[in-house]
Amino acid sequence: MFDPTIVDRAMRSEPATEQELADAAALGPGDYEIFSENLLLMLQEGKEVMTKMGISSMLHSGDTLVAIFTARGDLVSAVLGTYLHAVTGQVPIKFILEEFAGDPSVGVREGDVYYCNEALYGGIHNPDQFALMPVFNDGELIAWVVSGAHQSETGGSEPGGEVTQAHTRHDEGMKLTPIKIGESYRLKNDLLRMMENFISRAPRMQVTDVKARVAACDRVRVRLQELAGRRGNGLLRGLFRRMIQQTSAGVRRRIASWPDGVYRHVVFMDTTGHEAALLRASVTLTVKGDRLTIDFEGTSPEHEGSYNAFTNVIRGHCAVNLFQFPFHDFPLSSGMLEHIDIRVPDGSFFNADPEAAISCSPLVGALVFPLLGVVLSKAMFPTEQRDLVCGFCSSSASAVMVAGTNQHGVRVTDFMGYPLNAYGLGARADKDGVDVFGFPHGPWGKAPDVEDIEAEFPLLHLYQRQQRDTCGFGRWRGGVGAAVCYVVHQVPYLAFTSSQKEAKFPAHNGLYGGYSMTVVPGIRVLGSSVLEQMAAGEHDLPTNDYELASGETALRGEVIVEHQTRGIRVLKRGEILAASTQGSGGYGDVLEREPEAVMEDVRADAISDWTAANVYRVVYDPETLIPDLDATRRARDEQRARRLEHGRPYAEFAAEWELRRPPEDAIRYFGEWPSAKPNRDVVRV
Amino acid sequence: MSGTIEIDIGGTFTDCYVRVDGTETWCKTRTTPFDLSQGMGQAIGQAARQLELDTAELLERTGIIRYSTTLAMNKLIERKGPRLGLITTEGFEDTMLVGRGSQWSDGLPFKEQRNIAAAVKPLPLIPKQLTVGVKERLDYRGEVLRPLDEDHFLAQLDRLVDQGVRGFVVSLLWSFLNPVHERRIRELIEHEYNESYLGSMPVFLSSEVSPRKFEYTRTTMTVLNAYLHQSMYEELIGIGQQLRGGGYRKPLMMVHNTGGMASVFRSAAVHTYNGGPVAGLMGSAALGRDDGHRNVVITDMGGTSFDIAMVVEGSTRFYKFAPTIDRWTVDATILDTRSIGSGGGSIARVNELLDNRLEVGPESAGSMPGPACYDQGGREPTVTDADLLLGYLSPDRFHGGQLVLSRRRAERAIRDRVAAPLGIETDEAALLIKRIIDAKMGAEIYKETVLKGYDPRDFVIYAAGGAGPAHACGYAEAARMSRVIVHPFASTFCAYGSSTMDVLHVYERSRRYTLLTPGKKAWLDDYAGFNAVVEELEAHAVRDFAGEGFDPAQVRYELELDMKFGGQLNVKRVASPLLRVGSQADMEALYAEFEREFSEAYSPLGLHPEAGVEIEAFVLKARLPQPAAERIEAPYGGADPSGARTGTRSARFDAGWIDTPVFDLERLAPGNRLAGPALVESGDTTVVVAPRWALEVDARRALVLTLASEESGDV
Repeated sequence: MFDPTIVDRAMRSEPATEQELADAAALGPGDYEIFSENLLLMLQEGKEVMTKMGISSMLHSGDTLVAIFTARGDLVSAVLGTYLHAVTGQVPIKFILEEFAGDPSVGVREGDVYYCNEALYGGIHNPDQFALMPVFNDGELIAWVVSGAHQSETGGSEPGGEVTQAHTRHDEGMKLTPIKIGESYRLKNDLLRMMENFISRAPRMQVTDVKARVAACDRVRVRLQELAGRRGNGLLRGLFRRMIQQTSAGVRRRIASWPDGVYRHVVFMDTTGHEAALLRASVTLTVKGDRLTIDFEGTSPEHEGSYNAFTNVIRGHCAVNLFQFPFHDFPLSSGMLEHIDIRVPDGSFFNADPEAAISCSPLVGALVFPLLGVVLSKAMFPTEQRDLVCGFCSSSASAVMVAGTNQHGVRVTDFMGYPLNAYGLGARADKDGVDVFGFPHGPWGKAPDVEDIEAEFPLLHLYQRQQRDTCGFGRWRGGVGAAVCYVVHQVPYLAFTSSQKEAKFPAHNGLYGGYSMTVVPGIRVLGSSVLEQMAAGEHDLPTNDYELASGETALRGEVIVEHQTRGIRVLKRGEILAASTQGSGGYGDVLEREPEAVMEDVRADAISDWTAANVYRVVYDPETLIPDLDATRRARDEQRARRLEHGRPYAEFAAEWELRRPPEDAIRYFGEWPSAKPNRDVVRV
Repeated sequence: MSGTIEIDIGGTFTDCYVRVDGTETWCKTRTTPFDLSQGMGQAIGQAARQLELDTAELLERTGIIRYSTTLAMNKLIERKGPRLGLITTEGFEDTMLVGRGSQWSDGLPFKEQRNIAAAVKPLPLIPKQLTVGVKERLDYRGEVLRPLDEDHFLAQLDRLVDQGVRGFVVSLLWSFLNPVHERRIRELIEHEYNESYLGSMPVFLSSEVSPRKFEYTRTTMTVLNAYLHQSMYEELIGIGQQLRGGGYRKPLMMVHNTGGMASVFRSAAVHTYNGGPVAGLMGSAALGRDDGHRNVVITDMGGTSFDIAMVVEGSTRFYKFAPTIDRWTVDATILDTRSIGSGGGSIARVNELLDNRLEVGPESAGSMPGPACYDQGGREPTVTDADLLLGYLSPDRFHGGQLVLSRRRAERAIRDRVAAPLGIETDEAALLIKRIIDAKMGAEIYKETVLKGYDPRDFVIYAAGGAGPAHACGYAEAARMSRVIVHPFASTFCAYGSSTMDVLHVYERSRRYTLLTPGKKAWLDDYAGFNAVVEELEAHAVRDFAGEGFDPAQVRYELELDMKFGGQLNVKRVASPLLRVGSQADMEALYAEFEREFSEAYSPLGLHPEAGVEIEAFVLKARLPQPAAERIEAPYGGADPSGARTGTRSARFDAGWIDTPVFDLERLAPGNRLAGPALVESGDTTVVVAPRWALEVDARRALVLTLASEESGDV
């Protein structure tokens, strides 16, 4: 039986042993500096091996981990494409040590290869698969190596691994608790065959990527053994301990340098995965002395839909914000979280029952990005870290999945890396955000080229581009998002799904008066004859989402505008599916943006004329895009005067605000209004 | 007429290596950025004087001049290129701006990539308003799905010209498979705006500049080429005039980053990027062949960076994975040379947040203000400051005495900013800086070697660059290597390297063939299709060599294939054992080589032929071998080096301060031997022979350093 306490226990660093402290003290001058860098190079080498060998698009988008852990399972160092995985490796290792190390029917021996993808055991969701190898030298267990990557198929009731229509865990396909898939440095073909059977929509990807993960682990294992062979096991023990201690000390000092304070923020999610609804996620960040507390009390209860998460998912998403912003310059180790308490209320959709459906949990966890983006920015504003103030990314998780038989006759299922890797980055305290910046979970990943996708999938792109006006406006504007439009090509039909949120209500916010970004809908065109129209030389076909959705071009077919959370949609040859990502929030008042900067935005097609005139209140010549500075000043003064007309004393505003309440239909999964406490039973079968 | 002149023009110095009538010489002069031909002329003049010739005589005896430079890249970094228009498929106008999303991180060091809040995309070379979409479309087979709308295109063209565009880049989807629309667009431009109308407005087609799959990198290649074309062309005209004025009428060849070279007027600008380090790599391979070193790591430690490249089993056949030029990822076959931020100017810093962890580099003091000891206003402690305090460098002989180093400034910087915070003595702090930088460089060598599937202990290091010989023993030990060679021309090694290069053209073509179908069901049997691709590339090579005045019959061909298991995104480039195929056995031979190279680079655990095996691209190398230069040797001088001894200096090593003998490099003779610790000085470098290392001078006057015991180093 699953023991839920394993996650909390495993996330805490093991206390240092006397032997480790003695070994750390015995390190020679320069040993720490030299060998900590050396571990990083080993990990980079491992990651390169995995990336070059693997297939899954998410592996190339950077949803990856290669990491070294102590013999007792604490993170020492990692190279990863997403900081989510800074928290995922410890739980399965500690579970194996607790449950199997002393069990003669399983055991932990040199040459073993373990494997798992069960989120209950520390992962984010079951598409994330991990290989784990114990490292021995002279008969002593000296370390663990873990490599992991997201894989876009799990054998669930929908293709693609993120099952939007799942009701419980039983709809979500393969979920392996840690099992041994290799002994004596050899993989067991019977177990690989079992996995192929689970993942029969994409068996080739499954086996190739298992091998890629294992090869990465093995490469790091060899390097660690070489180092231990030369310098002894004590060096590794001491080095590992020192690395954990030093990250911990650095984080503690930085927190202590911030003024004490309490910062709060809320955001809303607009779907349960099954139906449109309003759910709230709340955070309270407390800075006190040398500790941070992140408390998600006030978050809505769990529900029957597919958009739930476990505590570890939330912890992983906190790690993304923490390691990408305030602590981006520290080495990764388990010491990072020693001074940060993360509290996730039981029964909330951030901490659901083990039976809940969670394969879409990154969408839920991504609510943490705007929550912490805002409160950490406020906490850092008066500190030396002001240059790290940033609202971060929008996070609707625009994951389009495609499944079917491709033009080469091979069964394929995969995420489309575009537009997933194409969100805008939020505005900073001193500059604009970044247009089409990347994937917030793993910002270094790559969006694929059109020619990459069209060579492997039976798709033709009608357009793939930046999307105007998707950013949040402000004194500094957020970066814009992107749009992609697929036509089914070369095959009679193809299945799509997409797991997303924020088609109706943006979960992300601007900073200090900056605008939130827009929401983005899903678009389909049924009965389209676009291929025939192209062949006939039709001049007037859509080149962006606005033209596609408006139906104002010569394109024939039925246009459907829908929420981007879509269950299976089977499209025939020539039919169209479009998806897009949001930009990110702005910073500061729109009326403070330099008129010239607004004109540059128009020139670069980042914003429309309408936005320049009606949001930024810039008066200009539409031909030359030269602003009339006097007229702009007058227009902005008038706008400020209008704002003042709406102004009221705070108490008066609050009194009226408290009386307001969304429609009952919108808050049926919200929990009690306004506390969001659970107010009904969730039944899962 | 057997003489050769090699020129490598860098940011600060122009290096020159000349070989004529059985003698060789080399020199450095200041680069003249306003007119490169002046610095080049001065270098040739100085080399002529060293050979006791006048410049005209030297040029008269010279059969070939080869040259490399990276200066065109400065135009790129400064965004001083021409105003260009980009013509692409409608709906895909933002490909360069999107840059696969995370373009903001391309070309940045790892630590900077982690700082998300500082992310900024590079300033585009062609702004959005100068990019137009045309109504056309091809599919993945190169079939036309939507014909080119010519009227619409002509309207777009007028829009670009009205905005002052002076050149065009045309990059359409799938054009590398079928360039019909790109070529038609060029015809339309030439028809509408012929030379007499507006002067020269060059048109660059992606299908010609880089006929490879992936529209982002094909477009970056074409844009960079167009952007650099004009300034490179002007630069070459100046150099050509200078040489012709001196009476030179023979070929002027340009070094390519592919490892080859071609006539300057047949050199695409993108291929000349990083030519210098690549020439150094090729030179190492040639020296290695001569001296029996089949595995060499060439290292070049300068002021700000540490460059490495590898010769493996006599071959230089390693290419960069997703190379970047400035901040642009390109799909060029660029020989793999790596650069990390470790040099004499690397700054040492105590990181208080990390419990006083000492970090060295990658930040550099550069040449201005430079290390504290330069006394030019620099306050930060650097590696050169440490080297000076440790007694390795002579304050009066640095850069041939052109710069007198301030020991006082170095001491203050290291004492105040490193020793005091760490609570250690100043000399210990200096030694720690040296150990850390050596370990960092050694670890990089180690990683690069093993990632390619080789054991560093099987390699010898060639140490070049101003700072390399002082640290070579240190980074060799850190990489667990025991042999270092410092050649007499180490400070102008890249220029020397080009003297060893063949005329080599590299042709690439993306073509997909399924070598083995999934499930291992069937081998490729389209032998004619495979052979036709190779024949097309060979025909291209014949045309180019004939155009350069060479005999195409002398050309030798080598075929490489980009291969992968079914579904994989990355390819492994494999040396094809065959130029033509005609049987299943040939297919099996191709697979066997792929399997061997894949296992070596990654892991045999990753072999998965059941997924199928695909060929993605063909790379044909056409080589015209150049006659090997004769070996120039000096007379044997006996084992005793005392004739070269100039004195004694106290220098700090791990064991403490040691009175260390100092020798003059110019006076060491073949056969001389000495044991470390010792210091060997010349005008432009200092060789530190560390304790446990021994030095012997070989017949070419190269210094061969050997670690006395095989005991491993730190890493």
